[in-house]
Amino acid sequence: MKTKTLSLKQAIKRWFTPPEALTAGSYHFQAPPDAPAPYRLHLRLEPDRSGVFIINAATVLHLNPTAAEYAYHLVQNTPEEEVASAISRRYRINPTQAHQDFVKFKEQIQTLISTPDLDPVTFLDFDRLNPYSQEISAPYRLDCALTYRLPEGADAAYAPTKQVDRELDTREWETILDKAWEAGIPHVVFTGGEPTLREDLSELIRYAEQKGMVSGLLTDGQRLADPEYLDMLLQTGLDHIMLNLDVDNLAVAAAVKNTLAADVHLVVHLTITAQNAARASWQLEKLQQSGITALSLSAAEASLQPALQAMREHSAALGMSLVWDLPVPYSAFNPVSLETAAEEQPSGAGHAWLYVEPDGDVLPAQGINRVLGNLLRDPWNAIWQNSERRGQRQ
Amino acid sequence: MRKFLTIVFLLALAVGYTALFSATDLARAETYYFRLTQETVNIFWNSDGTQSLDYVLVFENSPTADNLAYVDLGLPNGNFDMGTIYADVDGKPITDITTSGYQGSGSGVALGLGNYAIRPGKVGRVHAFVGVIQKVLYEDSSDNTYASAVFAPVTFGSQYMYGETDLTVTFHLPPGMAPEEPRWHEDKTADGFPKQPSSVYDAESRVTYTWRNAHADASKQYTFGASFPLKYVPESAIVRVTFIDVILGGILMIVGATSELCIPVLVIGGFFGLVGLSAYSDRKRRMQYLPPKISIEGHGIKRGLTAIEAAVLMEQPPDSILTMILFALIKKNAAEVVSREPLEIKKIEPMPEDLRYYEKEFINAFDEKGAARRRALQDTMIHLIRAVSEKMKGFSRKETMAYYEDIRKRAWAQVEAANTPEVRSQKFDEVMEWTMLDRDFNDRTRDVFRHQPVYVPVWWGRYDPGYHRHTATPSFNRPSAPSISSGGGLPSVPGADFAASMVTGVQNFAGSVIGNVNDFTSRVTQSTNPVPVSTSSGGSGGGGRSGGSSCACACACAGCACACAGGGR
Repeated sequence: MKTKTLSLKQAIKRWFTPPEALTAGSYHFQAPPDAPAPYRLHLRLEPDRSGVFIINAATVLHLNPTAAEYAYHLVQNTPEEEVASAISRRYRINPTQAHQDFVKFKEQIQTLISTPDLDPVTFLDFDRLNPYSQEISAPYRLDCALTYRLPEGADAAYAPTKQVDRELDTREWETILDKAWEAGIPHVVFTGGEPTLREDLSELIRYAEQKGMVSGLLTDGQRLADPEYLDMLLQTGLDHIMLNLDVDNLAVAAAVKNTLAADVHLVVHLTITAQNAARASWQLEKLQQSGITALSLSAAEASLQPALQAMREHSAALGMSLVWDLPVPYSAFNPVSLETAAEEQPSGAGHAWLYVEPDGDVLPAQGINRVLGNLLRDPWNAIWQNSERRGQRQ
Repeated sequence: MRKFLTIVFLLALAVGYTALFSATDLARAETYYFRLTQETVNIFWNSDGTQSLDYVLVFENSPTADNLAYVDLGLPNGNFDMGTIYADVDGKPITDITTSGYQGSGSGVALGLGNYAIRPGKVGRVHAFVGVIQKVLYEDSSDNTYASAVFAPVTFGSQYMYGETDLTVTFHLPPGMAPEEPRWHEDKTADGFPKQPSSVYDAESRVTYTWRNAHADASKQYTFGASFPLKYVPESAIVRVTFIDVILGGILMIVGATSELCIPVLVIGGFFGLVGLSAYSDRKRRMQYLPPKISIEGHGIKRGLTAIEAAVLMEQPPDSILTMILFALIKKNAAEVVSREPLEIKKIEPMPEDLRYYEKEFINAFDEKGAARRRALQDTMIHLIRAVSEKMKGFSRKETMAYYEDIRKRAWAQVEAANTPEVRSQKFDEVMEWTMLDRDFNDRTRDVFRHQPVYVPVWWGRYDPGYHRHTATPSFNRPSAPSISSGGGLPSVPGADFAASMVTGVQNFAGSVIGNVNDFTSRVTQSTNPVPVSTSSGGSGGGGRSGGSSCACACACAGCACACAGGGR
């Protein structure tokens, strides 16, 4: 009897209570091992019920509230019939239409995952937004410089120059990863200096992966020549590796060979300098012949733009995919940023990504020495408010 | 009557508007009669969700009336902060500002003009500023991600006034908004106002909407509205109208209106009313459904493609694309046609250094014969398509195609606008590769050149083996060449022959080099667009073009070779 009374009260209450928004926060989905291709989905539900949906830590979608709810159910793997029922209870829509819309939404996302070359505006009816043009509640990526140490004999020319008082220990980095995940950052890249000099690197990658983050490693590759070390890293769930390449280094050649044989996405970065510009094309062909399919390019100075553009043309002719916006040396001088410079598009630094130094200080990006706060000590909100672009807007 | 007004008010809220009830009254013992020559109101929709108002009212008091001693200023609701109200008359502050003295409808304040009362026959400018009014924003009834901001300026009883009013209403929307984000409401009650407000930034870089009517009737209620994304104001600032508000209003109305009716009527009516209301409330409490909308971050136009790469992107037939490569080689002095039927070319040594990879592959293909040559050309096409696909990653295919389509149109326009055969021939030489993006290239070439002679470019002899290159006359193949005022001495051919020769070149490729275009294309697309792998969840799909295919572009059609390019990162 008591139950019936409560039910009646609840039913009456339900008549007059508008449905609540889904809980704002981050949601994650990883394709099961038997999926045709591995993929990761990260959904960030915002307080205004819109959503940011990130596919494989690279493709950024902005969703209206209805699409955000469908994405939520996609990530939660809710059966289609339940989704239709839930949506029709919350919205003025019949279950049949809700079911159709959910199936269509799923197919659009699956098509985008399985056919990354497809133009989603033309073929999937998506709208296009300029990169980094939207207000967001947290960056898409955190670049963590675990150390500024370099291997013996390494050329320090490309290494960050800021001196730091100390390096954070493992627990402190875990605290930073906790904060980043809670803020809604889905992707972390471990960089340096040379991050493989940190003995706790695999522990930190594993920690990030267990939280649900996509993890990447930017390295000179020398330690990856050791198959056991590489295997140890791969056991953590590491998603992608970028080798900052010195093709004359034989150890790196072995690292490329080992990594290509492993189940991890590999990108090779070449920095075009005045010294290597003449033989860069030869290096590129050598990389392509070795099986490298993804490439990152930057130029050490703006005057090398023609050489950089020629390399970009050559890489396309060789069928190599271009990756950009990762925290590589001279990352601002990449082919795409130079090509779109005249369009005055907003930068992703301090907005789509942030950079954490070995002592926890946060910069908008590598090489922009403006400290926004310390991610270990300061609240996330304070750092985010301090970020350059938000500061400009406010 | 008061209860009825409450109902009306609640129902007005239920449709999602900031119903501002601001009928201002001057009904006191005195005889009021005036003209309101100007009413200017600035409404600031603040980032904390509050509203600020700034009124300027210019009264012209009638010579026959009493002093205009009070102005009742209606406000949107009772949630205003008295401490933030300021008023002056002709710049002289007044302090007699009370709620108790207000005699208008709804909420508001009475402005006692005191010593600055506007005397008969005189003009007075009353200025009032209200700093903080809360609970003025509602959820937009047509888009639940937007806030609705609606405002109606003060009105005065028609019995007190005469003449027209220059009425200006300006909304200052919350800071930080891009011009394309807010929307104005179209309100049929705002007769005489432009349908579309003027929009500029104010001094604080806030987007403004301004409506103005120099011949307005200040006794008439005009309503103005705008909506903007909810994210610009705190969620807590939005007034959510639950259906219980409407129900309570309904009960009040029934009680007020049926006090003389018998109880049974109320009971029966109440029962059916409750059933109806419950069904209605269940529907009404649910959120408005908007179709799912997905936007992707990506760059727009991919600039820097060659005409040949643009042709691939625009899904030109492979014979056209290969012909374009042939012309590019001939113009670069890298190849020469030695026979048209069957088409045979030879390399010109030394080869230029600036050849592109597809040009090198193309010319090397002609070292082969028959099927081997055809396969080599197919490989060239495959490499070209894949390279364009790689280049287009992260860029918009749609916008890029529109960009190159525009280049094509402008190329033809330049050729067609030329007044003389010399200039026309020179322009055509300069932009020929872009005109070849035209699917109607053959017909258009015939139309443009058929009636006038064409002064052939210097490379013509390398293209047409039958053409006698007995003259070494310099021609116009370089854009930097001085313009030619006369055709005297330049080699020329009849326009019809020139056009026929160009068109034949394209047709020859299909006929004598690649054979059947469909078969040729088939092998290319099998490689660039393999048979789709089903990725569908098994549903029947929502129609459209998104049904789990590996490549949805039009490359399945015969005679085109789609790059399937673009998008994403």
